Amino acid sequence: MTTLVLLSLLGFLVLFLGAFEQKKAILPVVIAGLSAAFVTNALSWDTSQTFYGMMRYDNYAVSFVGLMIFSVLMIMLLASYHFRNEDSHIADIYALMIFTLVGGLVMVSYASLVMLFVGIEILSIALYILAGSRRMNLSSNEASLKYFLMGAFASGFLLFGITLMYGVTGSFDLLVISDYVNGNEELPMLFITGVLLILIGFSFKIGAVPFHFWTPDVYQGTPTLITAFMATVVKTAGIAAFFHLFDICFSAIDGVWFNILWVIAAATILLGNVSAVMQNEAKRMLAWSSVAHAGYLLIPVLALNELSASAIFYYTAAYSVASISAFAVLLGISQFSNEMPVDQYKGLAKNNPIMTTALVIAMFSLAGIPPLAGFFGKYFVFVTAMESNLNIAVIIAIAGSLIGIYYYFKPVIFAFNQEVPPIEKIKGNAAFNFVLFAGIIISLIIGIFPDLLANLPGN
Amino acid sequence: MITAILIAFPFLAALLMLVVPASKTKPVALAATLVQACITAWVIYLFDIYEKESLLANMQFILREEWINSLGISFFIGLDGISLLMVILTNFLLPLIVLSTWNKEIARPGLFYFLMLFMQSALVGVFVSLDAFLYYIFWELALIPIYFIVLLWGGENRIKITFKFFIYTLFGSLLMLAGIIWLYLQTSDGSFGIDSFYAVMLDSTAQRWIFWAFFIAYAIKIPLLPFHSWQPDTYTTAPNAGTMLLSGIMLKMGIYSILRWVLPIVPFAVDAYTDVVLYMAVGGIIYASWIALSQNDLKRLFAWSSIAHVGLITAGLFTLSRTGFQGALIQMIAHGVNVVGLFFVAEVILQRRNTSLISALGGIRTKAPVFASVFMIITFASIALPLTNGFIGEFLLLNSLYEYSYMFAAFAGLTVIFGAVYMLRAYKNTMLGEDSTEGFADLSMSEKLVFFPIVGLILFFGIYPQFIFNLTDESVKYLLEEIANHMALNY
Amino acid sequence: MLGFPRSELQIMEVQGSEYLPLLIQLVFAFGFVAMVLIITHLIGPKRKSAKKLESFECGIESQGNARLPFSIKYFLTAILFVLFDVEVIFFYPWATNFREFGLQGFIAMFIFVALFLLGFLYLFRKKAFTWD
Repeated sequence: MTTLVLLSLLGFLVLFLGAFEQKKAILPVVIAGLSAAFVTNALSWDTSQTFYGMMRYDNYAVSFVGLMIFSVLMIMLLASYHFRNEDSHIADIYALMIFTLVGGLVMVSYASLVMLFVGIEILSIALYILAGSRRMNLSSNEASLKYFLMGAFASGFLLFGITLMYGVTGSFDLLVISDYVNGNEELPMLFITGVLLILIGFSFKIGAVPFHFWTPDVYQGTPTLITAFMATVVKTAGIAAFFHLFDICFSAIDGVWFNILWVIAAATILLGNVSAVMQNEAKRMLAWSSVAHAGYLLIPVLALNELSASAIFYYTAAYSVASISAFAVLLGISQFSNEMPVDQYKGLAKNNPIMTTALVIAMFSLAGIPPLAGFFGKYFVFVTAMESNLNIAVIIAIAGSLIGIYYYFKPVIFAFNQEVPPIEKIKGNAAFNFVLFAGIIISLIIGIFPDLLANLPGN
Repeated sequence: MITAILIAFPFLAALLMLVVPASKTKPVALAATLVQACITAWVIYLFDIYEKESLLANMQFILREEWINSLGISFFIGLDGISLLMVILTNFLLPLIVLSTWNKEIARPGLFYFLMLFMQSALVGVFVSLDAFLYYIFWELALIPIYFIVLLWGGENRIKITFKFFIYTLFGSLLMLAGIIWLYLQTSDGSFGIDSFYAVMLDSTAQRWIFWAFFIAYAIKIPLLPFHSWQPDTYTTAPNAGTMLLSGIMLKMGIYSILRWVLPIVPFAVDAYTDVVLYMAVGGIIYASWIALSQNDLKRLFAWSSIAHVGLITAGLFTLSRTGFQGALIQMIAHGVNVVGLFFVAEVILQRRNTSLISALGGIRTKAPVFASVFMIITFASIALPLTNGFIGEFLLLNSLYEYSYMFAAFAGLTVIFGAVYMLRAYKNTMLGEDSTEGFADLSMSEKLVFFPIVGLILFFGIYPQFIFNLTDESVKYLLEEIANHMALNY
Repeated sequence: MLGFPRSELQIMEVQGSEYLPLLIQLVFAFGFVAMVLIITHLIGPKRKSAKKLESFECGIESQGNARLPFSIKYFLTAILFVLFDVEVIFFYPWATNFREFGLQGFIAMFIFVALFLLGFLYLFRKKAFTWD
């Protein structure tokens, strides 16, 4: 709770620093504030408080919030590099990111469906603006509008589902709903419709097939920095909220949603990977890859056993770290451009060793090559799935990973291409280099010692 | 502890490569591999071949540290006769491979030797791991450096070819990973340790699934017949040192793994599929030999002949007999040594003539007698003349096949005839006859330093194969017992 | 083999009668609107001539398209008004229950208003109220 208050106040503070033209103070304040939030969050470990039946801040929430704060911190550092020569609106962008984080926090700690909805809206509304934060850029506007319309649709589905759930059980409280599900042999049609509507709403939010069609356009049109944000923080919050609800409320009625979600997960993995193969645009490729990763993340939800929470947490952590590195490199090369053909990585290795290392580690981690973090992420997902006898799903995931190799290796191959004029040395500031270093080191460390993160969210 | 040093030393040396100035990398890399060879020699000295009470018969220098507790993964390594043999092969070939690049201009040498030493570390890791998960990690780690070596220093079409190579092998690896996870879920104590894996009792259906999950990975790596199509291209396009690593050491990973991770765990399935595998292996021998007959490029010729040789080794393993196992182990060493020699022959010719097409060569013997003699000895070894290392292995393998079924032996025996034909023809067309072009410098000092140890090893193992017998006999006996026990319990 | 669902579920039929009042209300709501529209249309006097159909603008003949772009400033002001207006609505329920809430309610509303003011201040600093 302290974390929530702290983050909200931080958001305000940053807004006002911007409004009162204290540009120099913004970044230190943001870093200090986020670090403080990280600490207060860590201090809530094992305390597991419930607030008026609306939010439950248990270890599950603490671990995901910690991860999200970390990702936001990294993205903020990138932002300070990205906007180094531009001073308009930077405070607003920082503040909106912090508000998004607040929404994410609510989404992973809700104990009531109302809070789930509130969390999603806080997160989404800030994001709509962020997506359109380059006002003069047509594609940024397009992305913002598309994202808004799709997001509104998804919220509509979700809200309708929540309403039906309330209509049947008479409560928004997850525990009451869970009791209702466990206590009744037969559930009314309305309740089942509600479950399915919520399923669809979440699928929209995390960009799972067949509700994924907005992802590539939005990811590409959005400023690269914000895309990194969407691919990491938002996806983490979305999948954590998704799992939280299904774990607590709907585990006993998997007959209702199991087959649907199975098909969604399989289709997401396959379509995401296959489409990513066909892209020549680096950002679009990463967008499709994030669709594919949403598919892998759905497998633990599908398996829904005692390993699922850890698998999701580890996977999102590994994926976030690698994605931020990948986007950082992309940002370094393409700067403010929204379009970057993959072959623009050509000759990166010649003059930019740190960026190349970061790129290689990130791509290998995303592709799931041991002993990097991404490999263990996939590994945990596979174990979780096999524990529940989802062998076919594992085989599909394996096929997906194989296809993934193709496009994840493309940038790496281009980077080492020697026959072209190499990319000039890209001057990163300290923050930029720090993000790259952190990406390399963390991918290696949590890959070699997965125990560090593996059991955090508990059961 | 010393096992850990065997893994750690090349790794640290690899990291050193990144900071050493470019002009010093070659000597430093060579020194590092030589030190590693000395450590290996020390391990051979320490190794007690009469020990038979330890884990898996004569497993020694065991190190078991907890690593990922929550998943039952430990850092569990050790050496028995078989793994020591593979470590010897790796660590004694590496200095030769490094030396083979002595005269060559290499762009970014630091990165090149980093990858080579890194690969050495991973290869040793594969051979000494006793924890299935650790083994898998090393297995994958070994793939990455060779991928980059081929990608960055390879020849024509390297991007497409490395993709094919990587996708093939990774496909196998992931299947194997699924198999490993499945087995892990079946263990009674939730551990990836080899002892727990050996203790798992599976019904015949499960065994069949697991068998294919593992075997396809190894069949791709070795490579066996339907999975071989990556190999000739990759061997041809890879820089020579890479080809040597691939053919001399890396494909032995597959054969070693069959011995260690397939036969004792799913013997029932092995028994059920022996004929299938033998058809694959023997079919591969004939097919590869046939294609080798019509190759005009030296490197491709050696690549195809390599497929024929490893087919025979695999066939020997699946006879599940002591002769077969021993033959396979001897032949693995012999093939490793010979194929490195052969590819270096191709490299020497390529450097001097800028081509490895047989039709463009001829009469080299008159200009370079030492080179021609060395090539002659290696050729003899690879067609298994008595007194060379190839003879004992091939003899034992064919013998074991004959005991299993004379039909297979008869067809596999064709490899000897075919091999003699294409190897001798290649020799004749390149070394003998009219000298078509101007001067061909004989071997330089560094090249001699590569070839003479190879010739030495060929003769040493040809005359004294007892070394390998002694080293591995306990382990082989143990493995056969373990398989027999499993079979008895399963029926 | 898609795995094993842990429960088989019988889907219960919902009895329609529970929702009958809702349906009636819907019918009434739509019916009323439709009825009003239709009846006014029917009973009103109609005189269709060129002068009648022309848009009326202070007696002067209208020129050009009525859909002119107008300054975004109007829109901004309008939306800010709506924003604050909507938030003020929360005061009514609070005011009617003021006594029951006591001091805690007072503090809560104080924070609420403070947040308002902060927003107002922010808009002021961002020059949302300056016209040029």
